[in-house]
Amino acid sequence: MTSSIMDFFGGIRLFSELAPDELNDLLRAMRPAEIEAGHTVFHQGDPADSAYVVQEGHLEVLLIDDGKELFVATLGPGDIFGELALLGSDIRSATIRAKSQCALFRIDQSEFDFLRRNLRPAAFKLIRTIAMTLCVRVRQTNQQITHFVAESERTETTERIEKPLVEAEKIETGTTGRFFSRLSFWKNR
Amino acid sequence: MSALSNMLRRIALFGDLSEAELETLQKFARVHRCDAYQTLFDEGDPSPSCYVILDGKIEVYLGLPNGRQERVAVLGSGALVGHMALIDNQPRSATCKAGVRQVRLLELVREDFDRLFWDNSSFAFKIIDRLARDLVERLRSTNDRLREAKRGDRRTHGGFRAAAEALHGPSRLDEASDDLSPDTIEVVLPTLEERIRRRRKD
Repeated sequence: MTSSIMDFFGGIRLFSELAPDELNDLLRAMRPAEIEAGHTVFHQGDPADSAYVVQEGHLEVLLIDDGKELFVATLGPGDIFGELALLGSDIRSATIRAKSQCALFRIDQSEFDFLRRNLRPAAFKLIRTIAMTLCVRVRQTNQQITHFVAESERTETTERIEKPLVEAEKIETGTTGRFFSRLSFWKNR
Repeated sequence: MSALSNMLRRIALFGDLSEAELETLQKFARVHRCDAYQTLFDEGDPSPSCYVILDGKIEVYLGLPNGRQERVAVLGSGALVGHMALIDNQPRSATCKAGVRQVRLLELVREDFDRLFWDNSSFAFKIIDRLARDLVERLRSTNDRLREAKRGDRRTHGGFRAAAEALHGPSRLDEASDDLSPDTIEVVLPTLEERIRRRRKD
């Protein structure tokens, strides 16, 4: 590996804890990949079998919901994506599309598993750093859920009190409504 | 293989450890007891260690903004408690209390674990791998539930509770392991505690 590539990876936070020989282990498992502007690296729902590091260019992260595209984030040089494929995730959770011509490094799950099976420290240091980002996501999700649990509890308590009243009202207007429509039916005859 | 190693290997987290790695585990794990109804840790507490339940039940509570605590999960034998402590150094994300009887747990201290990890211990490597996979799995099932709960016009309390349970409850990693019999624990715990006592004397 050339020293400029070593420097590039050494500057990425995800790889910053690796010693040079460990970094080399990972680099040997990587393959360069080019992608044209507007092209998709993978689609949400695709089988997940590799992770990518962005060397050059920019890409967008999109969530597809009900056929609509929801923009989530932009990725640039030094960013990693698809890394959960290295940790047993089998389906892509988002779509990644190139905004410009991109130079990427691709690491296949099978190559990474080879490092894992051989207990290479590089693999586990990377896993540890990815796990730290997972913890951040778990904590964010936890806050979101706490908020929703509290909010839905409040709504349901209000509903329990108000619902019987609303239901009673509906039944009354319902009957009256039907009575009048029957009246007009007879009138129109 | 000793009865102790046999028991430890039934815990999914330790399922693929070699005999030597199980020895490492026995060298630094401690046995921790949490009395009935007592708090193991509170949400927001510092998190110096992670636990694996040997026997008894741990209840997981989320603190709501109105001050009420909602129980979102119950964990049993073999389950991990507070395992993010081995990965990052952030405060506890939930409150954990013992159920109606005393709970016995294996405690793994982060400081010890980190030392092993940076010494390239294969024990620590395998544990971090399992924990990371567990987090991926939890996030995936939690997000599935969360999406489900948000779908439609009725955002039910039950839906969000199910998401909370997916995040804090027993995971697939725990499920494989809920057959630690109380008898086995009675037999092996004294061995483990004896080892710990001996180690302290050394």
